Amino acid sequence: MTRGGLGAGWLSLAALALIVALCAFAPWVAPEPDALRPWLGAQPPGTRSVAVPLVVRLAVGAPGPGGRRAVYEVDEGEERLYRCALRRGRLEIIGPDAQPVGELALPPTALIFGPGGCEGPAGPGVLRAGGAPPPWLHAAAPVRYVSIRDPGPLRSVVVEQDGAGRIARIVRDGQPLEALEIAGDRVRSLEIDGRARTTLHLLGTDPLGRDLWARTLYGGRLSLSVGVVATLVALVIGSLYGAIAGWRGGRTDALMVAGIDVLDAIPFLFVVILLMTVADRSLLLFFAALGCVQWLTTARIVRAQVLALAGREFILAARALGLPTWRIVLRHLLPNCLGPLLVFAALTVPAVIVEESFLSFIGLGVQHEGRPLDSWGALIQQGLQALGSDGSRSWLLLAPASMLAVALFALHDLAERARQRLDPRAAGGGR
Amino acid sequence: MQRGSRVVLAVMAWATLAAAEPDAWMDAVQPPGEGWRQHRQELVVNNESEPKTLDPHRMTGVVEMRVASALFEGLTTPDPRDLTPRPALAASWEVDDDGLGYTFRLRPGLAFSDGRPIDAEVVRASWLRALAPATGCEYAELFDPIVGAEALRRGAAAELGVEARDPLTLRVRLRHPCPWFLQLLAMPPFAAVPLHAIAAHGERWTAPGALVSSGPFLLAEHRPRQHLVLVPNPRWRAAPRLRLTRLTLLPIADADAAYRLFCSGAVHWLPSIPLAKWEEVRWLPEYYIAPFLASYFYRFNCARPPFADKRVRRAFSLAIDRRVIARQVLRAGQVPATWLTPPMPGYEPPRGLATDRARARALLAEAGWGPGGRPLPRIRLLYNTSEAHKQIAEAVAKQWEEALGVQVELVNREWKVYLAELSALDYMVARSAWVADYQHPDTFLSLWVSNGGNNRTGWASADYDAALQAARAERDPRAQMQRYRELERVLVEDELPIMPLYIYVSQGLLRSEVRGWWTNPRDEHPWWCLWIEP
Amino acid sequence: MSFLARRLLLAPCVLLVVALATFAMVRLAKGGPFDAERELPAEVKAALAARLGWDRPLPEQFLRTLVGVADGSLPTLSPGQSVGAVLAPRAAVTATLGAVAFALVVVLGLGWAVLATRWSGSALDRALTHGTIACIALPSFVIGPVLAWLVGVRLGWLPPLGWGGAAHLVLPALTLAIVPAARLARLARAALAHEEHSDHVRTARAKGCGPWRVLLQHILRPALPPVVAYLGPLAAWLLTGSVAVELVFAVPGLGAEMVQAAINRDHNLVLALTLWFALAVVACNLLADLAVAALDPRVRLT
Repeated sequence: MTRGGLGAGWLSLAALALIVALCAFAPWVAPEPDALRPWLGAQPPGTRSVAVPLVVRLAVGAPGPGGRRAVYEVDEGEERLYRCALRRGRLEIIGPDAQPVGELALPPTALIFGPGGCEGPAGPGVLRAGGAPPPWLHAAAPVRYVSIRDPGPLRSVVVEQDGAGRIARIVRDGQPLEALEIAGDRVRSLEIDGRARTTLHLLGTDPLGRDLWARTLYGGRLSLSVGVVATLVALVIGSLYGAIAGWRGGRTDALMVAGIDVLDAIPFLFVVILLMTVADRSLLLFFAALGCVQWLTTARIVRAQVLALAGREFILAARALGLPTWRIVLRHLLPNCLGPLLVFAALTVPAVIVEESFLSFIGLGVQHEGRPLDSWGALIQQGLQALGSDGSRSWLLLAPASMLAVALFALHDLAERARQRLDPRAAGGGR
Repeated sequence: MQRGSRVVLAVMAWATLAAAEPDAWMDAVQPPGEGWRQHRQELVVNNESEPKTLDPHRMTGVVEMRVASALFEGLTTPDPRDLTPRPALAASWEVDDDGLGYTFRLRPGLAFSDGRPIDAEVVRASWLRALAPATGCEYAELFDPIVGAEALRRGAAAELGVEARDPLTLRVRLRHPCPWFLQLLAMPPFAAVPLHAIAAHGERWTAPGALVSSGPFLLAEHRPRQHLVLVPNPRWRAAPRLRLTRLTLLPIADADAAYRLFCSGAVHWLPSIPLAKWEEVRWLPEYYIAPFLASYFYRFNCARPPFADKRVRRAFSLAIDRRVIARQVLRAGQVPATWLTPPMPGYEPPRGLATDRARARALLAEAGWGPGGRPLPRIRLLYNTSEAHKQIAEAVAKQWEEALGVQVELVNREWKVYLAELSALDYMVARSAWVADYQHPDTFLSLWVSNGGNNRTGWASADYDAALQAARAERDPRAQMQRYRELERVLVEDELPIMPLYIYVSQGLLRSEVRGWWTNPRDEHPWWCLWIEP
Repeated sequence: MSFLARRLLLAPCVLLVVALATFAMVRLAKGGPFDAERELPAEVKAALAARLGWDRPLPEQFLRTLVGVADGSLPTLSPGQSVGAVLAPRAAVTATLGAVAFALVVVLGLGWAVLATRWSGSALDRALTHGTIACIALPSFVIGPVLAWLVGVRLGWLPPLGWGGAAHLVLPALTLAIVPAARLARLARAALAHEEHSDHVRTARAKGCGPWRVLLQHILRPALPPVVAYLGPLAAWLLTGSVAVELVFAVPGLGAEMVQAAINRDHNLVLALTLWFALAVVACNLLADLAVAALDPRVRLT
């Protein structure tokens, strides 16, 4: 019942249009959604990362990274993390392979890491398990990790390209090479023609280093299409079925209601689990499964409304005038069901989106072309799981959740306005 | 392998010692003291799921085993410090010189919780029950080293090589020397069960009130999906040692929910953590991590192209940098492994195939696939529903795509469908794991015998089968380990019906007031020695 | 034949169709109960199947299953546990939780809608429109953990999960009720708005009836049928257990049992649960139909 004037309505429409457009054009406005960079971990919004894939493959004659001259800074050092914890006042040291360590010699380069990041040098010295804890380990800081780096060489790899974008020369530390492979996590920086090549993560990254902006948009594609298609399926099947049942009444009605009862009495979850396990988990099946469940409610609502309307004076009048049945149903009954139906549809889109996300929650989310797709619901769920109890890493939850909330809110708002327009009495009396 | 023979010497030395003072080790595990008396001895732990049954012979997983170890006991029991089998129902034993005959002497005066005596005949009859196909014991194959057991569990008529010479003497004959046999005896399928109670109550014998136990605890209350309450068994052989007065097991499956409960202070021990919150959990002093005797690997379907060719299997294994998976995806300290067997005393696994993508592409081309040959079909990678499996599969798929230029399709299946497809060889590559049944490489290497029920790769090699038989028959511990090492070398460097990825760790949360708790590589924590003392 | 008698006669037919369909579906599903991490020998699988009666011809199995479900003696995969023994305590838990949640839904949803209609167009009305959208936008498995964390752990007012006293009921019931309450509020508000502008209301107002009287007598009553039509399936849904809430709060109810049974391929338990759900749904829908008829005399029952 918002009376915010036209402005708010345009706002909803604009927000929805923007989200739909962003999702539709996701490949053009976002980086690749499943580019793994696990070494990044979960990074806050606005972070930049070196734009390299999991494995950098370079070979003379093969397509290069772009530009004329690219320089990779490669760190071949290895880091080992030791967990130092205070247990009943004693020091406990666990090595990088989960084995307890009796004695740990700290080189001058060893660093202490706390929950907030690097806290400074740890050594030099020797830590002994079971012994007295070092000064940086106490009741207020019961767990610290010590990072010891093997001083690995920092090498630079220069790649020169010809005009056609193919690699002409690969030089590592002055040595020309034919081909080279670099693990993505070892690349500290990439410069192309003197400019650092980085990816901007607008909404940060998830724990596997995937761009959250991209994942949110691709998730939106899935959520919105599931919601809309399943709702359309439900509306078409449900209103036809409900209208016929309600109008014909008598034996037909009883039989058709029995049909709904039978279908409704089979638990939705099990139908979907079964469908998802017996057949392949394609998008089409998913639409069918969700739509088929939703149409039952649509049919019930339309039927109840038609039953209530069928005895009304204007319908009796139409009948008395001898209008054909189809005309009464289409011109008089269904338009009168539109209000509740539209409200129901407006509620069904989010309901379907939520149902889909619940299925993702128990691991039965939709798959497409062999990849599990992460819808908004799945992203929210992952964000919720990663969310720290002190509210850390909240962007993982907030980004998909706010996108979903805005989309749903706009959908509802528009539906409500449409209802007010379509219901002549509501419009006449209200304004 | 100096250490192997030393282990045997130690076992023998200790066996003699055991005869004199079988329970001296218990004082080391649970030091004497009185401090605990001032505190409430009520322990609450999350058992992570509702146990499918309390019948030790029908146990299927770690959830059921945790209950079984409280309620039932076999001839031996593991030492929580290093899993050495210690005397339980048996007070001592002698091993024949050929390593095939074991004579167990039971403790006098043993009794079930209802007072009925436990003697050698009860143990023998219990084992026969576990072997009967009608019982449906999933772990019955663990009896296979005993003469006649394999035929019996398959429903054939046979004489079991177990004899109750007198009420306190049990004689067991084995088919092959089995250095891990004493460890097996501590597992639930070998537990003594109250056959008289089973006869009286039938299938309902595990209900509270009817359940008669042979272990340190009694079943006081069982509300499925709510909790399971255990109280001390006053007739247990070492009942005065029990300090806990009440042990509550919760069946909370959702790791996030269990973590919330732990944070609210209502639980003492969580055997696992919510993995997505590792970044937070690892800063808690209650967090623990330890090596675990389990291995994570991918099975190749060797019955179908392209993986019928071992060069292709090798290529796919060579293309994976396991460091990325262990250090960056899993992060907790899992060991990236190109071999299968986790660290075992006296055993040094082979190195396996280190990442070499150029060689991987060369092998693939040599086998006639990829550029210049037939195009590789889309690779279907099967895994069962779990966030961790999915992340690993994504990382592996990405590496294959980038290194070999293949297309990889991730196929996520629900647990039972995954098992059915695995069993029917209806997959191309499948995520798998195996947890050691005993501390010996045999538990990992005997999986791959031709037509073995747990092979599930379609790979068969008569040479491998023969070599395994030879390894089992080997009497010298050092030479035996050498033979197992050779077996594993064939498996992870030459044939690769499987592609190892990493060795597990166990991680969980334990409140500091829980005492008598020892980390060990099976994440096994006997209940009898625990107590609470801040 | 009266409407009631016909619906009562139809009920067993519905149950039979549901039973047959479920029986066929579970037997066709891939993966059986004896597919285990360790391969079981064929002899053991046969012995286990025989214990469950699955070695008999299919029609006989089906009949035995029906009888077994009816008297609760059908064996489940857990040795010694019949479906009756497994389900009775679960059903009690779910019914308790469902009843509390149902009451919450009706009170919150209808109450909010009525108040919003009374002060139509006011801030309260706008809060309804926007508040309900916000509520529906939140999946229960997001609300649940957040509530549990906030109230259960941070504030420590209520137990974060588990089952036992009345305190354990609050959070799961609230989580369960929020979304349906919001849906009901919107549905009821739409129906009330529809009636608000009808002729008989205008007449009543013109005759000088007070706003509360108009609202309760002339607007609420005729607007009730769609609301009640929604409450029927809602009651069935609450009775059959919301899986997400039961999983999040570790409530030992039917929903959690259903997921486990389906995952374990405990066919007998799945069938019994499905039939129980079917019975609950049939009963709730029947009640809803009767209520609609009682509320709106214009509904044709014959």
